[in-house]
Amino acid sequence: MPKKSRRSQIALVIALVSTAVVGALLATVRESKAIPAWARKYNADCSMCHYPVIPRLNSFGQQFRRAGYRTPDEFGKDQDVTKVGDFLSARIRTRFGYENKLDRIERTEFTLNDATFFYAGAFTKNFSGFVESEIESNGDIELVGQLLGVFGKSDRYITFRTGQMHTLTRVGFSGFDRPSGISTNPLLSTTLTRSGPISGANFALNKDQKGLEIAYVQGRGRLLAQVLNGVNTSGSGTASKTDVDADKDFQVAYEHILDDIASGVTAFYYKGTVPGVASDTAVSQRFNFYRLGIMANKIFPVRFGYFELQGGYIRSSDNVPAQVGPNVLGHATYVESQQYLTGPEITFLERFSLIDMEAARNTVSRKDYTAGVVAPVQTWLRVAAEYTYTTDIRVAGTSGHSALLELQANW
Amino acid sequence: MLAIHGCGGPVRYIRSVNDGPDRYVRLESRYGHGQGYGYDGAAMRFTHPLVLGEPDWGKILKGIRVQLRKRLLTIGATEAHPEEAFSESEAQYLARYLAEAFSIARPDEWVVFCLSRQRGEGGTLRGGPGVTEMTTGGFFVEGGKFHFVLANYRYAVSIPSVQEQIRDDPLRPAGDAFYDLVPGPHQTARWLDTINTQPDLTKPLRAQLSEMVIEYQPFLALPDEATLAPGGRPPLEERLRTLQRLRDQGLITEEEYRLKRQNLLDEL
Repeated sequence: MPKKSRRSQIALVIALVSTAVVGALLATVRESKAIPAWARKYNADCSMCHYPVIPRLNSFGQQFRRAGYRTPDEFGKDQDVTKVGDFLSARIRTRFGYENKLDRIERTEFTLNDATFFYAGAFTKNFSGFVESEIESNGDIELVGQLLGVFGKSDRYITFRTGQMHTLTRVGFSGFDRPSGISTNPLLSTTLTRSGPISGANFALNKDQKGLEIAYVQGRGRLLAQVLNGVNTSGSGTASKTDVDADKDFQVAYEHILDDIASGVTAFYYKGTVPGVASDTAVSQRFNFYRLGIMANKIFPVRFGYFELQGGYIRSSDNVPAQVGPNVLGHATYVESQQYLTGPEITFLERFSLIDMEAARNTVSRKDYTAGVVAPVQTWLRVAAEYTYTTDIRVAGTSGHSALLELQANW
Repeated sequence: MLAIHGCGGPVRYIRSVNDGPDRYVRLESRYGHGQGYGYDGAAMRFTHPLVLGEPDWGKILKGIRVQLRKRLLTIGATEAHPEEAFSESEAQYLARYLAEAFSIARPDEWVVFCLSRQRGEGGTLRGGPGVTEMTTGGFFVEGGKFHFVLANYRYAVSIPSVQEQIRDDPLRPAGDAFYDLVPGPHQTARWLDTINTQPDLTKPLRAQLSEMVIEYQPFLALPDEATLAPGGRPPLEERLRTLQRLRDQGLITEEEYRLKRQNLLDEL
C-alpha cells in the first residue's frame, strides 16, 4: 500500500475517533439543554414536529409548516411577538469527509458545512415570516427570506408565499423534505439530464428560487402552484443575476399526508425555460424543459420501532434547440428504506438512486448506493454517518467512494 | 394480571387499579435487566402496602411543584416560577387511586400512572387538536420516604403510536424534559439517567427521569402553607390574574372576587 494512502487512512481513523470522542463528551453535557425556537415556544420536545430526527418533519410538523408555523388552535389568534427566543434559532453543521474518487487523489477534509441563523414564525393572525441566513463553508451567504399569508380555518385555508425560498425540496413531504441522513437525494440535488456544458438543462429541483406560491389546504391535502424566475446559466435561482426574461417557470404539485407519522405522497409538474449556454439573454439558445414526477413513502410501526419504505420517479424532458444539441428525455428513480429504533432513537437508512439522463441511448448515467445512520445524542445535537458509492459517466471525478460524519447542533 | 416482556427491557407484571382511555393508575413489578430502582427485582422490597387517606395523598401531590427549565435564547420570556405539578382534577384523581393502590401494593410493586389530555384542554400550553400532552411516572415508599419518579411531564405527542408507547411503559422517558421538580420542605429532587442498575438502552440517550423524595410523615404534619417550595408562591400579578380568571369562569362570585382581591392588594 502506498505510504501516502496509509497516512490518509490513519488520518481518517484519528479523525473518526476524535469526532466520536467529541460527540461522546458533548453527549454528557446535561446543563445546556437548548432547544430551537418553536420547541421553546410550545414547551415541547422536538418529536412533536419531527420524525425520525430533526430536521425532517412528521405529519403534524408538516401541517404546522403549511399553516405558516402555527398550530391548529392558533388560527385567527394574535401572536406574542415580544419573546424573541420563540423566533430565533441557530444551527451549526460540522463534518468530516472522506473521498476516494476515480481519477482523483484520495482526500479527507474537516468542513464547517454551514452556520445558519433563523428568525421565523407567525407574527400576526394571518402573516408569518421566515428568514434563514446560511454562512456556507466557502464564506458565501445563502439567504432564504419569505413572507407567508394564511387565510381561512384550520381545516381549510389558502396560503401565499413570496420571496427567495425553497420551492418544494426541503419544504415538501414524502421524499421532498430534508433528509433524515446527511446527503440530499440525487434526484433532487443533481441535474437529471445534463451531461456536459451544452446538453440538457442546468437545473436541479433543490435550487432555491425567487417567486410566488399560492396553495390551498384542505384536511391533509395541499394543492400548490408556483410562479418562479427560474435558474440562470450556472443553475442558480438566487444569484443577483438570475433568469430575468418574461418566460417564467411554473410548478404545480399536490401532496397528501397519509397518516399521523410521516407517510405521504407528492406528485409534481415543473415547466421552465433555461437561458443559453453563453448568455442569459441570447434568444436563439433558450429552450424549455419539464420535470414530472411522483414520490411516496409509507411508515409501518413494527416491533423495534418503525420501518419506512420510500420511492419516487421523475421523467425529464429538455426541448433543446437544434443548434445546441438533440432533445433529451431522461428517467430517474430511487428507492429508500429507513429503520427507526424507538429506544435509542437510532435511524438506519439505505438508498439506491438511478439517473438515466438519456433514454434514447439507453445509457444509465448515474447510480448512487447510500447507507447511513443517525441519532440524536442530545435534544440539540445529532450525530450522523453516511457512506455513498457513486458511478457517474457524466462528470469526471464523481465516481467512487465517499463517507461523511456530521455533527449538527441546533439552538 | 398482565405480564409484558419488553424488548431488551424488564419483564413487567401489571395489575390495574383504574384504567381509562386517557389516564390510569396501575401496580407494576419489574424484573430482570437490573430492574427495581437500583435493586434486583428479587431483592426489591418497598414498604408496601401503605395506608394513607385521600386527603393525605392530596396534600402530598399538591406539594409537588415544577418549574419551567431555563434554556438558551429564552430572550423576552416571562420569569418562570414554581407551580403545582398536577392540576386540581389530576390531583383528585391520583389521590383517590393512590390511596387504593398503596393499600394493596406488594413490596415489589411500583404504583405507576399515566395522565393524558389534548393540548388546550384545561392546560396553558399551546398545540390544540392533534397534540396530546402526557404525564407519566411512578411512586413507591421505602422506609419513611415517599419516592415520586417522573418520566414524562406535559410531554407533547403528535403521533398516536408514540402515545401508545408512552402509555405502555410509564417509567420510560420519551424525550427531553423542560420542567424541573422544585423541592420544598422535607423534599429533595434529583435527576436519574435510568431506574435500572444497568444502563438502559431502551430509552433515548438524551432523556432523563426526575425524582422527588419526600419524608412524608413530617411533610404531612406541616400546615398547608408551609408545604410550598421556596419562592413557591406565585407573584401577586399572577395571583390577581388567576383570581380574575376564576371570576370570569363563574367559579367564584363577584363578591368573593372583590374580597380576595382586596386581601391580595393588602399584602402590598
